[in-house]
Amino acid sequence: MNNRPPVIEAENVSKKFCRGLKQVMAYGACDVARDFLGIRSDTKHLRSGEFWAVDDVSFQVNRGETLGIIGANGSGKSTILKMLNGIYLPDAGEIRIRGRAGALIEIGAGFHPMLTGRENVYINGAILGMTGKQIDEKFDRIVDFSDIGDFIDSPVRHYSSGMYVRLGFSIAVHCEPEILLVDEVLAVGDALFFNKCTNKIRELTARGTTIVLVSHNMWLIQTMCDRVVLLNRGKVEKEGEPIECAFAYAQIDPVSSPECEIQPDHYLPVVVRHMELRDGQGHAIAVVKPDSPLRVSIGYLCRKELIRGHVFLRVTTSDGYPLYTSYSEAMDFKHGEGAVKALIPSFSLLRGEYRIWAGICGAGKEADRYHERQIKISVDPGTDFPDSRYGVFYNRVEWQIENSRVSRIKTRSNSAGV
Amino acid sequence: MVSKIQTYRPNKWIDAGSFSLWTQMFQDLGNSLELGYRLFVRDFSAKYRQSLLGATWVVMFPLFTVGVFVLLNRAGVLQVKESGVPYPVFALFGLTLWTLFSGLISSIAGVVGQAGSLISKIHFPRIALIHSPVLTSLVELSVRLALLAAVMVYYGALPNGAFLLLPLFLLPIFFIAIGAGLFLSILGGVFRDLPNILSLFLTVMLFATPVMYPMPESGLLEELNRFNPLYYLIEVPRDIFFQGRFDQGAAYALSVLLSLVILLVGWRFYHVAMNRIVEKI
Repeated sequence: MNNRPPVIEAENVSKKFCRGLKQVMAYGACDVARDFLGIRSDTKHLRSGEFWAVDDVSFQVNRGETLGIIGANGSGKSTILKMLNGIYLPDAGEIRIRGRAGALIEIGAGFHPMLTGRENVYINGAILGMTGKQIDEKFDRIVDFSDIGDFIDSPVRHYSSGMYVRLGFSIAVHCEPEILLVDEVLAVGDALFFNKCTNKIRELTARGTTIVLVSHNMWLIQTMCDRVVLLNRGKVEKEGEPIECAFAYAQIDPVSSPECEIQPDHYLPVVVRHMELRDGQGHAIAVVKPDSPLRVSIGYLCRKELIRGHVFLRVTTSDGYPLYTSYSEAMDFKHGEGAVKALIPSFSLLRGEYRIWAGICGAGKEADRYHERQIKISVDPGTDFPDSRYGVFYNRVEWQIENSRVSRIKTRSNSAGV
Repeated sequence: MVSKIQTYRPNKWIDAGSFSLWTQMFQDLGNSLELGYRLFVRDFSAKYRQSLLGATWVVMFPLFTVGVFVLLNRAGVLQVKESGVPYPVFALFGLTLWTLFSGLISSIAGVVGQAGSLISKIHFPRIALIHSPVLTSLVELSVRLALLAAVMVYYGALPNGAFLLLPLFLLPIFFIAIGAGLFLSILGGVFRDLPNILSLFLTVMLFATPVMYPMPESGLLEELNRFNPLYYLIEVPRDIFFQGRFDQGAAYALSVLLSLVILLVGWRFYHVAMNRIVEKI
């Protein structure tokens, strides 16, 4: 089985796009005319105004494997997916696909709002390449999976957006393509359905379906994919273990520049001027180990006296999901500059990119009006801590083994949780 | 199981070679039948589910247009010379064939523009987009033919037996409309003002082509229409059915040939240009 050639082979694939609308039209007309007349186009060079949206990308995917493609917006992920599906032709390089590719790039394509769910299942199924007979056979399973029950006979325009997506997803996975291309469609729908979808995708992989998954959800990527390609401005930045690529992605992520300021509102009494991170010895740092002390110093400017204000510190993931917030005791702020220091005795997060936010807020009604500033921090654990694939937090757990056949070793082990 | 290998690379169409491109196009057509039919059912049921008068709309346009022309004719504003056929029958026959042409070409010219995210996000045989307009125009044509039959019976102007060959005479009109429509649909994907230009052009053509009136004896219109294939495609069957006269054989044969060329060229253009145009949508 391992001797089989890869299901998807992309060899030095490039794709160029054009910025200006007028040039798009001019080049488009020129290219179409050449194709039609059989004049070979030199697609390997850029004309003025063009840029490489995908630049010399190569990868292979084997049967039953799940490949993740990650990268910032505009890094070329969707363009690659469309080339794999044959919607765009590459401008250089070659793509070879062995097997029937089904795409989940747009959910519910061709749905007509006036028609019932039942009618739309047949239309969408036909668009995805199923025959009427195949749809007849799978119809009950499609409806069951989508959980929309009696609504199947109502016009689709009366559906909630969740129902719409569930029905669309259900049709697409029941097509049972040999290759499934998924573009960020799992982001819609509730948590329950999300789990159902991921389980369904695992079921498909177990049966040998090859999957290419584009997503910004690093947790999804880390749990679903065997391998990941990280794109940066159309080029492959890194290929390999999902966890390594996710970490590398967080570091190139342009939104998490080291220090980022939110413009202060004129009416806010206290503005955070600067932030600094130091380790236990007092050295300035940007990377810490889990379970080690971290000092945060916060410099502020008080523009208007603030009585009984609080300094707070919030730790979030790199995409802004809050992990915890800590408030100082109430204190009075006087006109002028000042500084506060916070000590976190054990910065107990696992490997990844995080952000620390600091702000100064008033009490009561004023608690939600504040100016804050953020600073980026990486946690690099070395080897003796669990992977962040298994969680975000590091927590010390004492294990006691009471099985007599294991020699009495009291181990200090590590655990993680979200 | 050995799956078919799909290869995508630049200049794919040129590398495929001219002949294999034709086989590809016919394969695509074969693969598109099921989907094309589904899309037809979708468009058709969606169109008539929310309309009060339903199929009546189909005959409104020819009925009113011919009505206006008949009134103009009676009032003497429009002087149509006697052609041996009652004028309403003459005009309605011409207009029935003309609306087949104009309706089909404008609906096909719009398919790429309307399909939008369907073609930019899903891969399917693109030719499936034309089944719906073609089948819809067939349905509408049959409704209009029923109207024509009623009018013919009313005026007692029944055509001769050659009328049974009408479907054959309609084929070249379908060919031109489909071929030119496919060509325009690609342009329409990029130039959004194309539908407006087309509808303006079709209106002018309706009055410039001897559809509602016989060919003038001389003058500019006569000069121009000698090179208008649509004139022959409508006038020759009308002459045959109602007068039993067939005297423009060579011009008709040329028009039929031209219609076939337009069909094949338009189709091939559509097939080859689609990948490029999808990038621009």
